[in-house]
Amino acid sequence: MAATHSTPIAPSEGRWIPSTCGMCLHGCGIKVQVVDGVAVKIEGDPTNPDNLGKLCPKGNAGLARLYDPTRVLYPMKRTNPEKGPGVDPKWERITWEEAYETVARELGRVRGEDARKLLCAIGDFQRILLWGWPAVFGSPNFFTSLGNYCGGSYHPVNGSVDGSFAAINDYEHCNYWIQIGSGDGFSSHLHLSGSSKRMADARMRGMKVISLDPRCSIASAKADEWIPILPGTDRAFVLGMAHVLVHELRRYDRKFLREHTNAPYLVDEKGHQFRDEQGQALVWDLAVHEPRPWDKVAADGMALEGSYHYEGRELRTGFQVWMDLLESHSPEKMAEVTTVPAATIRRIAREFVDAAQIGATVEIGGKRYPYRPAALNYYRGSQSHANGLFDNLTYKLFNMLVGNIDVPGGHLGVPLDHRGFFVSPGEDGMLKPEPHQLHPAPPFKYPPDSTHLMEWFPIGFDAGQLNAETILNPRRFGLEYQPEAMMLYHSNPWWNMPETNKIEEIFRRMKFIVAIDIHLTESTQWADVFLPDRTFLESTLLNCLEPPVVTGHSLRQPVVEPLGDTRDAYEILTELAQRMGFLDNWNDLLNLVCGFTAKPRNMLDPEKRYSAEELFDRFARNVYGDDHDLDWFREHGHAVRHRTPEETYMPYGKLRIPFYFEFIKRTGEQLRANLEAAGVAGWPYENYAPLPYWKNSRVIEDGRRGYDFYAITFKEPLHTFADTLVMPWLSEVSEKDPIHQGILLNAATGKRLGIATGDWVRLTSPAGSIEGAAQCVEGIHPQVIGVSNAITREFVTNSGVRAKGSHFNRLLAGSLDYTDGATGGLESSARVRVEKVAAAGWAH
Amino acid sequence: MARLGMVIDLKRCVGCNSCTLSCKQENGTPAGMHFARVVTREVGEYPRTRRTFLPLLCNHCEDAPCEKACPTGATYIRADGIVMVAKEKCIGCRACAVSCPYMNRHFIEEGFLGHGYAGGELSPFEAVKFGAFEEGTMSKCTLCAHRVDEGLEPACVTTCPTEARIFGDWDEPEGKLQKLVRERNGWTLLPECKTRPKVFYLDA
Amino acid sequence: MATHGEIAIAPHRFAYGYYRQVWWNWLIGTAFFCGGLGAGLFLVSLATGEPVGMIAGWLLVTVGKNTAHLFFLGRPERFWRAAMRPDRSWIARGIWATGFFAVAGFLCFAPHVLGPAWMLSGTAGAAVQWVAAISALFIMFYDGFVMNSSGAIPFWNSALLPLLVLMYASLGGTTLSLLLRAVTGGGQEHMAWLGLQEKWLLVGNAALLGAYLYRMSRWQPAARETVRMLVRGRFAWAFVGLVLAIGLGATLLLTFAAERFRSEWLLPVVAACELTGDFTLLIVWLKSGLFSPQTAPHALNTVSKQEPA
Ligand SMILES: Nc1nc2c(c(=O)[nH]1)N[C@H]1C(S)=C(S)[C@@H](COP(=O)(O)OP(=O)(O)OC[C@H]3O[C@@H](n4cnc5c(=O)[nH]c(N)nc54)[C@H](O)[C@@H]3O)O[C@H]1N2
Ligand SMILES: Nc1nc2c(c(=O)[nH]1)N[C@H]1C(S)=C(S)[C@@H](COP(=O)(O)OP(=O)(O)OC[C@H]3O[C@@H](n4cnc5c(=O)[nH]c(N)nc54)[C@H](O)[C@@H]3O)O[C@H]1N2
Ligand code: SF4
Ligand code: SF4
Ligand code: SF4
Ligand code: SF4
Ligand code: SF4
Ligand SMILES: [Mo]
Repeated sequence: MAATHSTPIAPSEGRWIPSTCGMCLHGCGIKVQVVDGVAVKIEGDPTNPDNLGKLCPKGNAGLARLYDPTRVLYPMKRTNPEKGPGVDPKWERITWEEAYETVARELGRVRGEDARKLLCAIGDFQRILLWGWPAVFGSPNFFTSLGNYCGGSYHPVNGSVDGSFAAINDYEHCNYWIQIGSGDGFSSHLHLSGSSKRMADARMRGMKVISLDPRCSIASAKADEWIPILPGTDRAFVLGMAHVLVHELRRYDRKFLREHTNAPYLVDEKGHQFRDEQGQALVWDLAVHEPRPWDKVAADGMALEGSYHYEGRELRTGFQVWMDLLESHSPEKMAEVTTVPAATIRRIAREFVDAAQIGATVEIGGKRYPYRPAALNYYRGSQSHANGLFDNLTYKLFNMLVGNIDVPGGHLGVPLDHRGFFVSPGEDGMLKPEPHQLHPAPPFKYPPDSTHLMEWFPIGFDAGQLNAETILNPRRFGLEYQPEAMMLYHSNPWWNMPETNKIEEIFRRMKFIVAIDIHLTESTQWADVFLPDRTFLESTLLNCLEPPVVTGHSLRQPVVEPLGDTRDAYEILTELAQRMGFLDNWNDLLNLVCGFTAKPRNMLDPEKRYSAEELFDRFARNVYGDDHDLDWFREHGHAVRHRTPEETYMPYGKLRIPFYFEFIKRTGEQLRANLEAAGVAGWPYENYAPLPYWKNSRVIEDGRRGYDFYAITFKEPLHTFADTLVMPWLSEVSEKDPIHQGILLNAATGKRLGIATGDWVRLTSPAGSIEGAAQCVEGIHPQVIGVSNAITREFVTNSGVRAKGSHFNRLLAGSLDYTDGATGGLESSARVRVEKVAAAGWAH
Repeated sequence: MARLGMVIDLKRCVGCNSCTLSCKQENGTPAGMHFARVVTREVGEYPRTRRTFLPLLCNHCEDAPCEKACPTGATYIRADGIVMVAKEKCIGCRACAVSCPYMNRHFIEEGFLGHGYAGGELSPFEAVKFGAFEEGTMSKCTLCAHRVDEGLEPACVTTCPTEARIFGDWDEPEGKLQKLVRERNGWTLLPECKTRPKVFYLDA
Repeated sequence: MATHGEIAIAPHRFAYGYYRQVWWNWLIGTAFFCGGLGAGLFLVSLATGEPVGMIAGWLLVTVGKNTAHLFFLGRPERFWRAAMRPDRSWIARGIWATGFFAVAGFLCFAPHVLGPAWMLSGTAGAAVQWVAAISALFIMFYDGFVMNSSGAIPFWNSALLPLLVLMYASLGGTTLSLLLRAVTGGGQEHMAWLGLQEKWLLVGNAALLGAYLYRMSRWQPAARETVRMLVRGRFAWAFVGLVLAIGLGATLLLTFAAERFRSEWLLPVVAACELTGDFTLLIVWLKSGLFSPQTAPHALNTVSKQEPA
């Protein structure tokens, strides 16, 4: 224990240990000052080009997580058989032996009967290598909406366009940045610390930012222009702009579309690619006025637009098909949908295409690239909706219209990790779509194995919200078994999923629940056995996760002696695998996901157990060569470097990227055949379309049933989801910002409804209802209600923090009607009724 | 001799409160006490509205009223212009607090150092850092003198993700502070108080 | 929470608005009260050679004022340090004055309690009386400088403040002196002109308060807001009710009544009313102090440059 200092601790005291921040998934480089065994300061690692020595507020609060007095530091078992919210589990400290013994016995039994009866909720992105544990256990089930509440439609589309996982505009060269429903560079999404710096620099050099958001987010507050818009209608705004570009201004990057996409490929009446006998996709040859194989015609000789009669066939280029679709999407029509004036849609479209400088090129690193310094960036808010696939396709296509995909100044793909873009040749000279990057695409199966029906989402992400749909009425989709056990690992599904009541019912049905976590939460309170993990300041791993402009791993290493009697989650899972007799499969899987199979000498011996240090030492050497072992990382902290222009720009090279997404259409047709053969009726196939258009979502329809407002949720820099809410360091600050003080509604709306700040209000959606204190603000659309994550916790153990209990997700429906049929993406906004329950002061 | 100070660029600032939190961990201030903080405020009416962010810290005033008002000399100004409190000389009369127009004095009440953040006992971190404080005395932003003395920038400056906080020396005519304030006509808070702050602001 | 129009009181230091003066509480108010009252009483009594009043006044200052101060200090054991900076701090000057007063004041009435042995010779005696008188006078008005020396709280930032506290100290001193005479039956020969002085001081203070509030209602926003709080806002009951109605109005009427009907039994009531007003004034002046909101001098320049969406 360090002696108390009577003066502030000088930076020169003790030693600084390089490591990686674990306060959110992204893992900025940090260095931790340790004096006499106590961690006293965390700073950004200035040698790490990702965050350049900067830290977001959460990163600055890391020590409060390590030393959080309400952390669980010892294995525990519940002694109160009764479970439920508010029920005291009567935790009792036990030995690791007893804990392991119990868990291995209980899960072992389930595994013996039917391994699929285990539901797993794993949210530890930084230890993504461990996500396959349930699979080797034998369960395909994914009981959380992590990744799907945000990227359900996003990741598959990025993977299909350029083999990326995420995307961001080019901070370095972009001059006109349209930000739709995202906090990139301001409050959230990719690598906040470094992105904030890059965004600020871009704005200082004159880049214009336009922000579309129903509320005045930080991005909107700092943007040159904030355009309030109705939730879930952003696609309409962008389709309106696309209409302006192709039908009114007739300005788009014909060269790019011809050379780098399949837009000129011919499409037949049924919407299929028109092919010759050899199965070659055909284009319209302007010279000979007939279809010729795509590789036989020079790009500038292909027709981009146009319909063609050929041997009695009605053929159109893929581009023409979208042009025809866009016909009906005039700014006036889209204005009715979005509440954004048609004039604004037109103005932004024009400003955008002007800024894009179609035709311009730039030389970078001795190589010439197209230069398109205008791009549209988006994330959770604008596409985590029931038609999320259409949303994502629209945004990508709009960017493609000006040819800015993966070119300087434009819209850049962000790889999942150090492996970079997944680029390989597919058919018709195109890039092979990679919609699944976290695990191989599941083959179709009926009856389904998984409770979230992953076998029925051939291009989707894991639709965690569908667990309720299947488990609570198994007959509907022919689920053959009832789940009995649950594993919670770095995840709070009770909080993170829609329709809390149904999720709770599933918790109630579990015969056994094990939690690998650091805190008691709404979810882990249900556990029968609690296995305490180590925090990011006490454990070891190598991290590299969707880095926007850099690549390479950063080392997480213990900076202090672990508190209490905890174990590294990796070692917990390995111990359990061994006790249940599948250590060999576990190691085999790790060999696969760690890429050891490529270099057999690094492979793990299936029979042997490895510590986290041993595992990541191999991992390091496997990726960076033997001179870069774990000790090298311990000394240098990271191997992070800027991505080179070659790694960043036009990764698809000569391969074409999809403009007309035929493979989506075909996948849907295949699925329909499979499901109909299996006799499954009423499955939504509509979104398996090759091109996006506007159609009302179920949420918009709900408006007709008297739910006249929209409700949305949002993230801000001070918190990671609502998890960090248990940390007084962060909560005492967020509590002081009005936007985290209650249910946000527009001041004028409040006046109209007779609701003032402080009044107690109830929001009711078709799915559920929540209550809370009203907070009237100017910065939100008059028809929209905002619920910050900071008021959504219903159970926290930290006496320094009060649980707020206006849990937004109770308003969301998790059913198929509110799910994108093609991607499984969930609907993250809801229609609500607003009523005043009690005047300020009278609220409980 | 140097005249250390800061320029805060409100155009860069995104109101993230990293400064607030880095100051919190650097100085280990007790619950509810923030030398660095950000005033978040909504201005304008829908749809022409904005959230504005005003990061605050001690202005290390040239004519520091807190120092003038201090009857004991506990509040003093270092040769480099940093306004400090010698806690062992402080009697806790709060005259400085009443005199600071900027609410940048922080009084360590009786019992503040007795319990940790969550109300319970001190965490190892708090046990180490609370030593720098003394109950019954006044405390304040030190411009991270302990860092500056080792040639580093203040914690809130080092961490600021947007580099909105720029640290420097006003005595350098061509230094970044003078330059920025000249180029973007910087201003100070409550000029009417004639405190001559050494923290300047640039328009958003 | 749109902040155009009315500026609100900030609930904490992360919010925009006026910040309330939270540092100096009722203990400081009590110290100021005892100091002014005691010094005032002492001075009146010295002028009229009234030992009981001198002793009472001296006790109010040396015991009352100082105890209150010590109770307030975060580090009372170091109180002596407060005398270190008389060159710039009014508090330090006050400490010195209180010190001189303690000694000189004591010597003034020592003979009456400890016997003629303590009687000082002509010049020395005169000197001591002068020192006591001047330090007493100083104690009567220096609080005003302690408060107005900082520009931080616009409402306190007025040259009238020292005068105001001086006047109230005199008023309080006079009132107590009258009461003592009524109770002890001594020094009756001065009752008449003391009564007159009392009335004039009451009128004078009323006028001074009027002038003070008038000036402040034309001063910085924070000062105007305080005036609003005193006249119409959260402190109106205390200021209008206790300070004006009871402390000045009622006191004046009762003083007349007391003389008109020779009913000296009214004097305690008069004193109670006047002292209530006196004490409340100091408390309310401390509590209603506001710091100015912090923002860009050209405040709303941060609002969007955008065309209406
Ligand atoms: N600080 C912080 N950073 C994070 C996280 C965190 O919790 N905190 N979580 C990480 C994870 S897993 C994710 S998924 C990302 C999420 O990153 P973001 O997508 O940037 O985060 P959100 O705040 O969920 O959504 C962004 C914005 O969408 C707005 N919005 C909501 N509905 C709509 C809509 O229908 N249309 C439009 N145009 N806007 C809408 C919200 O008001 C919000 O301002 O952030 C990652 N980084
Ligand atoms: N209302 C609402 N719901 C949302 C969102 C929203 O913005 N609003 N966001 C959605 C999105 S985009 C996502 S990705 C999901 C995320 O939802 P989650 O995956 O649930 O979020 P996490 O913060 O990853 O998981 C929180 C759990 O991780 C535990 N934990 C923290 N650190 C550690 C550690 O070091 N080890 C272990 N073992 N456990 C740890 C915490 O104690 C807590 O139990 O939520 C989704 N749900
Ligand atoms: S962005 Fe995430 S990883 Fe980086 S400092 Fe913030 S919390 Fe830590
Ligand atoms: S850290 Fe920087 S950007 Fe964030 S609030 Fe403070 S000054 Fe502003
Ligand atoms: S800001 Fe306040 S505390 Fe800081 S120097 Fe100026 S007056 Fe003193
Ligand atoms: S509180 Fe301390 S620092 Fe402030 S004026 Fe009194 S003695 Fe000086
Ligand atoms: S300079 Fe240091 S002490 Fe002052 S606000 Fe910044 S971090 Fe806190
Ligand atoms: Mo997410």
